[in-house]
Amino acid sequence: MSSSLSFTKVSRNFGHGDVLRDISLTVPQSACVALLGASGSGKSTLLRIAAGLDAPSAGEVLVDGQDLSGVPAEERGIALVFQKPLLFPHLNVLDNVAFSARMSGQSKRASRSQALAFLNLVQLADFAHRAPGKLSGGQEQRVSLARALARNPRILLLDEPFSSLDSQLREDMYALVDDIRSQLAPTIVLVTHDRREASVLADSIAVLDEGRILQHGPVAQVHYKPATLAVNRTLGGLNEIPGHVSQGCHVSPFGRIPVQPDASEGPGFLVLRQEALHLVPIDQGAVNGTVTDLKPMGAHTLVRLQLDTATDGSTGSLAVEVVGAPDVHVGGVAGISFNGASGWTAPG
Amino acid sequence: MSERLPERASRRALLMAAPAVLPVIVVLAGALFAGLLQSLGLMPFTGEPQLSFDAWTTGSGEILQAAGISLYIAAASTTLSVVMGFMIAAYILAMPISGRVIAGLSAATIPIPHLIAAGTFGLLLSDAGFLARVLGMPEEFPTFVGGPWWGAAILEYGWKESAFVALVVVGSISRRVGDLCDAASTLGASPRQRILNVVLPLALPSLGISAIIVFVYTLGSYEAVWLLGPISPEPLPVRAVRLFGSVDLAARPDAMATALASVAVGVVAILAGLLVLRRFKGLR
Amino acid sequence: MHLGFGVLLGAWIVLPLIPLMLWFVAGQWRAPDILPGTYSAQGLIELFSPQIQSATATSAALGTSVALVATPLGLLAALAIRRLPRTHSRFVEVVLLTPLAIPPFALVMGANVLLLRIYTPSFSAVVLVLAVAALPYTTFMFRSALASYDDRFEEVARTLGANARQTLAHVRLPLLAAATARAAFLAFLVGWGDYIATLLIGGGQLRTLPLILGSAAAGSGNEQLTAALSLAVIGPPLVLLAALSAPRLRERIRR
Repeated sequence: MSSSLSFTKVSRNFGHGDVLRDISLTVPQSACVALLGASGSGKSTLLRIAAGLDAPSAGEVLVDGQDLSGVPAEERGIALVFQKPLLFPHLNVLDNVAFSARMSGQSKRASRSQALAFLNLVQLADFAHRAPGKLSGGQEQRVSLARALARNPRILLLDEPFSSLDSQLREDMYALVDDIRSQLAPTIVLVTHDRREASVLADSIAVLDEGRILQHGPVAQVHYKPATLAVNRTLGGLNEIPGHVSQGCHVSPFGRIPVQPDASEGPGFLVLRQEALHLVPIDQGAVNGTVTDLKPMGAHTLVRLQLDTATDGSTGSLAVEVVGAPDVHVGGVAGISFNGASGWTAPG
Repeated sequence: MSERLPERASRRALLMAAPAVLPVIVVLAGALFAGLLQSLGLMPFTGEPQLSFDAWTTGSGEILQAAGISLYIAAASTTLSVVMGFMIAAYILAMPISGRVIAGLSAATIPIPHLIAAGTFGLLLSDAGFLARVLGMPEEFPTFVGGPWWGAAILEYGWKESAFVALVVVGSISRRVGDLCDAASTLGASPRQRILNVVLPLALPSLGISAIIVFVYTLGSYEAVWLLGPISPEPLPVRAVRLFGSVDLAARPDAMATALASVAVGVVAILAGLLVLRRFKGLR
Repeated sequence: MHLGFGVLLGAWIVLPLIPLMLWFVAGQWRAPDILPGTYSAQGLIELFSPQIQSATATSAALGTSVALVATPLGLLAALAIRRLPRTHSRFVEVVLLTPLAIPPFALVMGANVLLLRIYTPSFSAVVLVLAVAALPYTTFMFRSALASYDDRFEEVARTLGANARQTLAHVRLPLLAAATARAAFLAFLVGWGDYIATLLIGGGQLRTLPLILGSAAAGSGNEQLTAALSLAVIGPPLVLLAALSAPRLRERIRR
């Protein structure tokens, strides 16, 4: 039932500059890919192009290798769930879910019984005969999801569908998506600006910025092996240490850190996730730093340190995410250790 | 190709507007043009067209007098309907339950045509009408119907249009006003202060717009001033319609001149009203 | 605010209608009496006289015709205004508002000559002029409905497999149904309650309810007939209005 989706060199131009530039991306059958980017990065436009609600200025959209250009939205078999639930106010919950079956010419009775199965999937069968206005925001979005799934889409597009829900509801929705994936295995493209949401739901993340895909890779890869500093920042990485690469090592006040073997020689930034660093007693780490700020983040604390002046006179700052409340105070000095795993550099 | 798409969509939209826009333009422009030609004797009912400014020159005194009366009636009716309309709106917004009753009653009068309202105001306000009877037929009961001040007509307009004003005001501010009044009351504003300092300023733009609409409407409305006003002197609509229906076809140019004068007065009133509204906006 | 003030406002709204009701049921009602001396069903019987029945039919036909013309045109115009670039849409908006600025009698008097010259039948002529007068209202109704209309409803429908025709029939029209009813109601009222256009263009050929009422109210001693005719004009729109708001009311009760 589900299909693969790929974009080849898709561009979109609205007259005043490109919104999308040369986007190439493949989403394998039954996979879930997240498009992550700030608002205005073009990610929603890409979904609208896939759905057939907008046409690319150049490039192609392929489903199972077939070019979709000229195929109208209603014949693509691609369902789209928006941030707003957009339940038809003149239809009750059940008839909203039955909408696509009715459009394809099925009888009222058959459409409704099929719709009920999908309402069951989102655990809202008891609400079948309610008017959409009488549901909570989370319930409305569940119905909206059920309505899209009832289309039996080859591909399911989700455009920030959970961003207006509170955090507990969002967790419930993540569980629901997992459930849907294990039962129906649809191909999913998820647009979001929330890197945690992208990480929780998707198999791989494509980072978009100003209409370009900066990197597309598995969740861990984009976090720990960002292709550029912009990718690192989009994924919440806080540490970029300037230095240069020589003989497979990054050289900086932090010392000589072995990095990826194919890193190009010359100036480069060492990217260290704040989660991968540890605080240790003075002089036991790679460098020492003076604590400048402590920021509680719930179960974790974010510690910011100013690095002590290194031999070559350069300075820098680092952020370290520590479990619990660390035994340091602002103005105190601590050692910072990098637990041996190989480093990663990104060009500036 | 995508470059040309918006242009094509825009042409399609113009085609969609055409069936509504064209009849309006044709009827309006045709009516005004034909009216002008007739007022100048160039489109006579019978006989040869002959250019004449008589309707405008010899009739000018009567037209000016009629315009003055019409402006007086419109101004008085507008004031009455705006004051009453705002009070109705404020009550509807302030009182959750009894306000709904008033809202329902007020809205129910909207579909009543002015002709019917004028008829019922005649039954209410005439010399031996319902109100005089309720008051025990006092000697000093004012002549509302057919009196020199057009009292019954002004009350009729004020009554009908106050419901319209209330509808516009409530419709335009009901969403915002609740929260703002709550905020004002937590800041210590009494109900009276809330109405004067929160509801009234919020309602001013919609009051202004509805005042213009009511003014222009009452200026050009025929039924109430015809039924409830004195035989003479005449406001613009009554003079125009009487001359238009006159058996003397020579009165046609006078009728048309009066009609066009009404159009001109109305247009000037709208422009002046919009200017005042814009001033107000600038002041705030 | 005092309930007493509400009672005063209620009196302002209702009082003018009371003599109408009383005259409708009155038999004999001599001058100093506050209430009718005798009551009769004469007013009610009057409503079923052939003259009033045929006038009701003519008025209904006029109202319906104006609604049938002005409602779809108002919808098309409102849709066009939404899609047009700003300069064009302003033009369309202003044109469709101008009928409000022209006194109806002036419009009718000017148009009358033209319509006579091109031999338009009087009924069609009245419908045309009244449709022009009703267009500002219908356009406004659809404009305000479209202002809160979300195009993405139609986009969702298309991704759910609805083609253009189905999207129109199952999404756009139902979503605009309430606005359509309101617009049609207003346009109906313009035709149903019109006096001046029927009088001046119809030239006495079109005997509508308001026309009969006008001559009854202008004469003296016709209080009973005036009251009966007034109720005949007010009644049907109020029933229509109640029918239009009934579904909403039921919804509110169920909630």
